[in-house]
Amino acid sequence: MTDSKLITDFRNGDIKAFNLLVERWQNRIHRFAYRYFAGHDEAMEITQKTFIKVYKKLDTLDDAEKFRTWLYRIANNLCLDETKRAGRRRSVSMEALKDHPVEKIPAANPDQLVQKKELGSILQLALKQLPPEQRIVVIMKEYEELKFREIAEILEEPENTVKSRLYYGLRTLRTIFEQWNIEMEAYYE
Amino acid sequence: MNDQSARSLFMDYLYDEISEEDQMKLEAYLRENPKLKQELDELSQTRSLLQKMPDEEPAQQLLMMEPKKRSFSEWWSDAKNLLPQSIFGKAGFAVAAGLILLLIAGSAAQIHVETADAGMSVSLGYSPSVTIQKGIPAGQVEAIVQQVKKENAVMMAELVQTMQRQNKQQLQQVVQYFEQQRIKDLKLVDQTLDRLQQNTSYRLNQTNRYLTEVLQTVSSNN
Repeated sequence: MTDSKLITDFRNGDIKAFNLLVERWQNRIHRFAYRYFAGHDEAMEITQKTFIKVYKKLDTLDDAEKFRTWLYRIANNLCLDETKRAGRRRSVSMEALKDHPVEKIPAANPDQLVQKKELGSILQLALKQLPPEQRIVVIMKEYEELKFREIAEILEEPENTVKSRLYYGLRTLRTIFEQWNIEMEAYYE
Repeated sequence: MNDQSARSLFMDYLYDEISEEDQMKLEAYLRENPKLKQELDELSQTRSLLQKMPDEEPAQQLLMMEPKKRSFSEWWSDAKNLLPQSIFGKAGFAVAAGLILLLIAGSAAQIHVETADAGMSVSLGYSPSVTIQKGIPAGQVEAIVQQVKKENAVMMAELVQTMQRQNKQQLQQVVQYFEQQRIKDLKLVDQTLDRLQQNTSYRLNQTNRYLTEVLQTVSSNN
């Protein structure tokens, strides 16, 4: 059953249709928020708030085909609001990153790193160093696999701005990985 | 194509959103510019590393619950469960409910219970009796008013007399004070004149004495 059909059913009073929508999308919204905040509590809070807002505002969505971008826009705005509210902006200068307390990662033993589930934490930590506007674009493109057109629609920015943010986001991440002595060639496929 | 336009296609190329035409142009340009190719490879390696991040699943699944709309029969069924189930409990509940009902009905109907020598009486619509005192005759009222007026006039006259007496006393005190002050002033003037006269007389005597001495001296020299 398509999202559009579920939305129509919900508008006709079928609460089960809404629960199907939640079931279908909540993992993705949770994953998106988790990668943004690197925290389960914040991710769960954003997920709940997102679907409460969807429940209240779904009647205002003109084109049911645009549910996906509309949903991500709500989640993105909630993430940015939460960042502003909590002052969680973590972007730091490159100089400061040189002295980051993260343990230097030897590239010789990547399997061991994966086994200890440390690589995920390090990548998460690296993502958090990005300014929110670059972090959002990296997450949307790299993990949510949205098209540039869709990201531009969600952020209400030109496509070229989105691409530019992604380019600078990847370059900053590259610099961070180098400073943390992570040899990316070991992971290159 | 130049470096800047080539870089503008990097993201489209990396994420497979590039057109075939642009892809061919970019790849041709990169073959001639190994430094730019190196930059693109580094970005691609960064992407590969980012892809190593494991997925995180939510700890709990959300479920939206619609507020339940209860029918009257469901509501009555729930309410019945709150009532006491034993016979004694039911009896006690019935007595208490009856008393409360009686109190409410009695309050609404203004019930009144009265005991007298003949027995007890219960009446509805009770309102306490109010004794209305009859008025006194008009002539008597007029006499009272006149009496009050007279007393007021006497009181006013006494008040005026008292005030006049007090004013007179105060005036006499003021006059007496000024009289005493005048006598003091006259005595002072008299004393001062006396002293001035004595002084003048003394100075005249002295002058005469000196003049006599001068005349005697002059005549002896001659």
